[in-house]
Amino acid sequence: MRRLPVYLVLDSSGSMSGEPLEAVKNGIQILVSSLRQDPYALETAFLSVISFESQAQQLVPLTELSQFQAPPLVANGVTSLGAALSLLADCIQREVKTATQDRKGDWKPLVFLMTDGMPTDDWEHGLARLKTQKIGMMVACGPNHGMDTDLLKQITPHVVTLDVTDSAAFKAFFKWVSASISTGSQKVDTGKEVMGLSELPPPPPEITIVV
Amino acid sequence: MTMEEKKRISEYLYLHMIQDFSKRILEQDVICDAFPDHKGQDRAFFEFILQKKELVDINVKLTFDQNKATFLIAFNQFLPKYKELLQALTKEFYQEKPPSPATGCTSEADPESKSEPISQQLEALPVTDSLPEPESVTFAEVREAQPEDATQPEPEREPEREKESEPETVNLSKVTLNSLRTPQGLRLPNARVGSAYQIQLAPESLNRTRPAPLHLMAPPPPGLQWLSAEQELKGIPELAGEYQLTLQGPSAHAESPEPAIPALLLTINPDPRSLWQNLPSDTEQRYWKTDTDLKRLESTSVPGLKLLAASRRGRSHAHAGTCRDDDFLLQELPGNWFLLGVADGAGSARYSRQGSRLACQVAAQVIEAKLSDPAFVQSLESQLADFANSGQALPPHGLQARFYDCLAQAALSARKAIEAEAQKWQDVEPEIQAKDFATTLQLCLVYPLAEQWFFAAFSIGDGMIAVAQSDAIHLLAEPDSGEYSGQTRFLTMGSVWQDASAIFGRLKFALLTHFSHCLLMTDGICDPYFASENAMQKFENWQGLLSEMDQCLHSPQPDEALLEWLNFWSEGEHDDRTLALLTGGTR
Repeated sequence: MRRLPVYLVLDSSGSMSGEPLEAVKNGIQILVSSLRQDPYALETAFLSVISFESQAQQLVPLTELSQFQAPPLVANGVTSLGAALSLLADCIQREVKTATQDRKGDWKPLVFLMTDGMPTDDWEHGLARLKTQKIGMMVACGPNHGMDTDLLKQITPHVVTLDVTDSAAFKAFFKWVSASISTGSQKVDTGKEVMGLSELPPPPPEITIVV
Repeated sequence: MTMEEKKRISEYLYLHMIQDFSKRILEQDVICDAFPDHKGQDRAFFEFILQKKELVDINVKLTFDQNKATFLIAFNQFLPKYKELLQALTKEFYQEKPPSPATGCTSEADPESKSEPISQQLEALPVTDSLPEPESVTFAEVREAQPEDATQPEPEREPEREKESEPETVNLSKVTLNSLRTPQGLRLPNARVGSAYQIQLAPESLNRTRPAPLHLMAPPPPGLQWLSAEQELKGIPELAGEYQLTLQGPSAHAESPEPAIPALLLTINPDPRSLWQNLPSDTEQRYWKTDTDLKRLESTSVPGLKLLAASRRGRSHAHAGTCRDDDFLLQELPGNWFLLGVADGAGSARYSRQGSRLACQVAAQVIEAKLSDPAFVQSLESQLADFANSGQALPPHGLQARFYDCLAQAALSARKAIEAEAQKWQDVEPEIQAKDFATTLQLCLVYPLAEQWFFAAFSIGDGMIAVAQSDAIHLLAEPDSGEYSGQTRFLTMGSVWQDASAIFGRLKFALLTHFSHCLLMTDGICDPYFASENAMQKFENWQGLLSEMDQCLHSPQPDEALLEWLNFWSEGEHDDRTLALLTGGTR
């Protein structure tokens, strides 16, 4: 079976502690329980969670949606985005199967990156590493204030911002990610792949697309 | 100076101080400076520090770079007062453990004097004095906002370790549990409606030192049962949902109260089959197509030879109420020529259902016209007879070129017809292009010779053409598939038609004394049946498919049976499925 790998790359630096992190945890729960009602996603989507603060860590390896269990998240440390991108590249290289003579390849992975602040490490190094991997589509999400969206634009052309980083906004973001994964798994089922934001469901009012 | 200015300047200074500091953080003396009582440099120490909730709160984080420990301290919390905390923690650690042999800081070095430079440096900076106000505020906020968190980090960290050290076993036969311990309880591996589930819980996972009969406080989820003696949950779940099961043990003795039994958390996923809908397609829409199609021919000239074709809308289209994109062609042409074809409209192209229909229609017309041309047929048949007598495996180039003129020409004409169709919309909807009709196309011509069967095939895209014998399979198409899923070539692509030798290479031939089945299939059938292109090469991998095909052929209504068979279930495989079949080829 051809899998649709989905990577959630989540900022869990110290500034996320408290309400924002709880919102992210709830967001993952909502995402998983709604995707479990979607036959496309249930059969094709595989989820992985990578969190990053001072270090990046793959909390959940690429896991079939039906077996996925939300990981514990703890907020602390600084924002090592570069380490996260580099780890993401490693995970894709290790986990996403390309077609060979003896097996079918996976669909190109979908990546949702969420950060709440500027990176504190050498993110360009991580980006260079990530560029070596094939990604179907990557959406980067950052706060509207206190974030250089040009920086995110260098990582991916698909950038969205949150006007406020409160729990309502995070919840809205995860709902949208969930709907996007549904769309993605539905598309691959008929041989299509998601190529741009315009093919995803329209984002809620809390989310602004950066053009 | 206003508060804002103060803040800005101090932020600037902090930034620079950290940068200056960061140059030195790899040097061991700096580590010792920051942890004045640290006797050496070992991982256990830093892991100990790492686990301390106080430090998590103040945003101190250590990272490990091989044996070289480095640490970073978030700007706005880098204050001497935390050094006291670090000092206290260092003492705590080394009281519990004997100091490891000093590696970095030599034992002769006096830790006190080592700590001087950095503390002097820190205190000398005005910054550290100017910022206590905002700093202490944020610190207090963090602590107040997270009262419950401060008590919970340890149980959250522990299971992660366990998980790393033990290989994950979600084998649903009898397993000793390897579940995720969460503050809410013990999270069991997920179950699925209709699928057998069985899990045995180790006593220690329930905070018990030895097995004890534990009872459920409430009935388990429908379909599951709890075996209290075995501490086992088993059965076939009937209802999806999130469940929390509470266990109760024998009343504890007052003198030795046992720790609480964690609740069992279980997610039961719905059976994906139950979630698929079957919505009718909108018959009013442009280029509408029926959800299924079938055709059945008995040869008038070759007794026993049967031609069958069936096409079925995939579950993914049914779920969305959209049209089938596949199509087929099946014809007996004058002069004992049998023509089979399948076409798979691209899922990403909005009018591909029409593309596949046009491809089949036009290809059939062109080939029929060619084979109705007496001059063409006469020379073709004499060349074929020569070839059959030659004993060669492959037709000579001249004969191959005949089929280039016939099959490749048919495909090219189909492409042109699609372009013409797209062109029709130019004035009304100029955005419509030929690629909106993208489709694959597989064609196969079969001709009975005096003692043999001749097959000529042409293919663009990922469908398959195969001829089966009782003990062998001959593939007459190379699927155009890419490195990743869903990449293939379409009839409408310009790149397919640029290189004549590449087009020529798409022609495949076979000359066989007998055959059981000649099959043309879209990838909706190939993908679920074959793990890879390599797997298709092996005859044993075809036996299951062929015997299922024979069952259909032996039923009173073979075409209907075939159409029904196309409905087979394969997880994650819900594409349209189309099959064209020629059978009865014994001579």
